[in-house]
Amino acid sequence: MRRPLSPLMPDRSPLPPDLSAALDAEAPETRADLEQVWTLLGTLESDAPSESDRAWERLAAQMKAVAPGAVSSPTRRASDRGAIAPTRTTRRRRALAYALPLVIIAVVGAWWMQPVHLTAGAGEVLSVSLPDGSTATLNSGATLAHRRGFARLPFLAAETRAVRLEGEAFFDVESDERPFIVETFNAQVTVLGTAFNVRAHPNEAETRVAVSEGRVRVTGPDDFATELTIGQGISVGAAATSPPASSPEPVEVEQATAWRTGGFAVRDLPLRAVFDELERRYGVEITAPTRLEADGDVTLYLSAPSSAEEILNDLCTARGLTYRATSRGFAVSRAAR
Amino acid sequence: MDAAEPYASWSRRIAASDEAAFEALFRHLHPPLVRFAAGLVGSEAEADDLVQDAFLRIWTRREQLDPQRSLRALLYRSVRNLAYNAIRDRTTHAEKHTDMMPPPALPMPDAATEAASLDERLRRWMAELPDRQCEALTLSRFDGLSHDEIAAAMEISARTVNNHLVAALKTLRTRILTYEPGYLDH
Repeated sequence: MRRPLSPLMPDRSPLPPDLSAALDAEAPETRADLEQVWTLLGTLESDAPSESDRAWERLAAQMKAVAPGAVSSPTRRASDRGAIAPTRTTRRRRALAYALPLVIIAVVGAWWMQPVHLTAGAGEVLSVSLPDGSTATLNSGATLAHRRGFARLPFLAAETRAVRLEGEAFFDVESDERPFIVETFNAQVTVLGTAFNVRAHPNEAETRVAVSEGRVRVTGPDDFATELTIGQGISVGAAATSPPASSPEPVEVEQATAWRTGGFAVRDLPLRAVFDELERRYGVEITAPTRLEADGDVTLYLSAPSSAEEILNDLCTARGLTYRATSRGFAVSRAAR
Repeated sequence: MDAAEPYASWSRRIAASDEAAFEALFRHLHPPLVRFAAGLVGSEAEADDLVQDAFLRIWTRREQLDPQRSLRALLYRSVRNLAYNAIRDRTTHAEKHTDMMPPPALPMPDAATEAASLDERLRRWMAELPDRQCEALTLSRFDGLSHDEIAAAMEISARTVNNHLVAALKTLRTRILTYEPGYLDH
């Protein structure tokens, strides 16, 4: 629904005084950055300005058609063009006048078709608003994609509110008659309005859902379908696993969503997946020989870890492993006996 | 920059049916208003119609113009409301499919996609901001409206306008820091 807008002319305006005053509350480094963002916005290439002459002629004609003091109700549909019947000359002029805008419409249409992509960077927890007012909070490294306004094509109603998730996110969904659907690489979570956590990393080969409020419907490969309610969770495996999913089971939703408040929690994850989670969360690189993975799944919960090292330390102690710092993170290996 | 324009004077003159003043107002604000409306409704032709409507309404109710109140904010508010009405009307008239099909498969974001330039990236990131933040930032940075004018146009408080702007700038800053930290060197 929105098109990236730009100034008609590149411009060096300083921050408006109200905004400048508000930024005084920020740390100097942050403030300097934000001012720089403001300046950068002024460098955007300007769009071509529209034709005012022809537009004025049209308006002047409409003004004449309206009696002084009378209130007219101009039609608002794009298909109707003004209160007066166009003459042949005006129509021809209009055809010319709109040849260029048709090109713009085509370009805008093509732009419209591209989904909106949202990504949380390393160590970032990113909260975003969706077009219906729902919010999604993305854990580090997660990506969320959806069509603008949820609509398949410009100007058509969206029948559903669909988003595509890779990674982990918490959704707080506004009630609406259109179903809200989270699509992962192997499963779909459908809700009408509720709050729940979805975790879907393809290399963990499963999608996990935990429900914090309300009720969701989860569907997956091999016609798998079930419903979950508060405090329940499920894991949906990739196609051709058997069974395709666990039964709904009670889950510690607080732990499943601990990441939203800085906690670190993993449940029944292979070691490499835990390292991947640390990498996304802290922006570090963790190398480890693959034979360590045979050790089995990890369950770990820290409500307020201070660093990657703290977590790694706990993990290694529990597993008889050791680690050392590297230039880009850590290297893990079996502890010497 | 735009504060130099004689909006108050135009307001008085238009209220007195001065067409020359009305034309001057139109020529000055027509391009940015069309751009603003096109950003909301997605089509420049439709945006042009909306802006025409907004100006026509001002003209037909010109006796009510108050030179103390920002004429520019009034026009932006009018255009904005017309745009949102048009969008709402358009969706109620749209064809509804019976939805037996699964949701469309969206292409996954291509991690290897290189945005060609800062220009494209900034535009994309701006478009990804929540609607209100993007609008407020656009009106402030590109249309040059004051906080009070934006508040009048969007029908929110000046404080909320400020919050939107700060939040928008912070989000853009985070994006830049994540992908192109060099752009913030100063």
